[in-house]
Amino acid sequence: MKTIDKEYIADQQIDRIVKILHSVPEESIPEGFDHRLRAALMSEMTHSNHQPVSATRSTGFFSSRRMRIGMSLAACFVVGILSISMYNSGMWDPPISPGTELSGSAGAGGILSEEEMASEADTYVETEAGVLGDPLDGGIVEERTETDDRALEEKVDPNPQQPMQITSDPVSRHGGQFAELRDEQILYFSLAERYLNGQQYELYTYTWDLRTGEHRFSLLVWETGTEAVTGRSIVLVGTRGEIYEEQQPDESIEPLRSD
Amino acid sequence: MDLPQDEAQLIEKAKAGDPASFELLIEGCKTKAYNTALRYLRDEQDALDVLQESMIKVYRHLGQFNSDSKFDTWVYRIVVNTCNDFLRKNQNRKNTDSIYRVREEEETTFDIPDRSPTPGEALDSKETMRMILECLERLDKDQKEVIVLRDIQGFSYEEISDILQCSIGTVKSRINRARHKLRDMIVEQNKDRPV
Repeated sequence: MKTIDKEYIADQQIDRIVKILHSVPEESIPEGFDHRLRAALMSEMTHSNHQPVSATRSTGFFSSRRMRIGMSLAACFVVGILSISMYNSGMWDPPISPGTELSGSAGAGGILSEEEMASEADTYVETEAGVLGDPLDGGIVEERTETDDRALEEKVDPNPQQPMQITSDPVSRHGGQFAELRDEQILYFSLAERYLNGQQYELYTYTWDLRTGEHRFSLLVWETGTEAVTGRSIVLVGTRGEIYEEQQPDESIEPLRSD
Repeated sequence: MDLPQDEAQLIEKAKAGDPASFELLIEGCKTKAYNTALRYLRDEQDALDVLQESMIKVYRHLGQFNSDSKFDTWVYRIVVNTCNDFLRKNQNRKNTDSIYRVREEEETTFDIPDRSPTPGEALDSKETMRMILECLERLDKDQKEVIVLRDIQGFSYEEISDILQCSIGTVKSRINRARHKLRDMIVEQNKDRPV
């Protein structure tokens, strides 16, 4: 019963509140507003008649949201493709160090003529088998057998330029300094052998100067005279695609053996 | 919704750029629009600014009016939205000038229906009205909105539904909750003095 009374009282109070709110008087618009509004409308009319086309208003082809998203995705795709192709072409590989630059350009292809390059292919086989294969064990070319020659001929690359194209070698392109050094070794060993022109020799030491890029060969060359076989120590220096004999201050010829 | 013949013609002329037709068109709803803005904002100058901005919007977007609702209702919707925008922009502004502030120099009396107030009762009514309107300001925005539109401006449920773009059921329940909350606030504030 009390609840019903409470609700009844609440409803009565709400009714009274609503009646009071209904009785809030209506205010009239202050004088002068009509003039103000008319002026604003005239200004708006003038503005709308002479309104320039907004540069930022989206119109035409680019107004579609889907189109804008599609263009963005296409741009991302193109950038990705370009990045992958540039990576594969090696544009982003680290630069080759100065020490290895010599063998690639000046050492092999830069100085040697085409004729020399052709002969390089021949000497390549020889050095692979004779000198470089086990240089400290002898290195006497004449001791090779015919079987070895045939076996080596099978290893000859049909393209004679192949051994000299070290810059295109994927191993050396990816920072393989040792691969390039090996190519230079082959080159200068072959040049040294040509320089000795069939003379018998023993290789004592081989050094590669990292600073100057010189390949130094210390050799004992056997010279057959009329009475005895003598040995002469020489130093061959290979650099810039050439090889020369270093002048010794006191060249000594000592007899090694006698017949 | 079918518009009156005159109103439809005026709208067409106003759309064509005839300012006189537009002024005639808004003449019928201008005062109610102003009072709605005044109850929302509680400041005469702000209400005038909002009214002017609303009318400019009405003129600017007249081409988008498609006769789905009454023209007046469409105008009131724009006014209410502009008021809400204004309040949102000026949230932090300290509102010092209230239209509900009792002007001591004026002897305003308010008629209470079915009663003939004596001068003392009229003063009581004035005080009560001020107190009710102050409590109204403390209601949530949505609740204050429906009380202003329904109980002060006298719009029908259907019109409020059109103005606020919600269902009639929502309007009714919102009004009911708002009235009860307003009553609770008034009772709480005047425990020793019955409303």
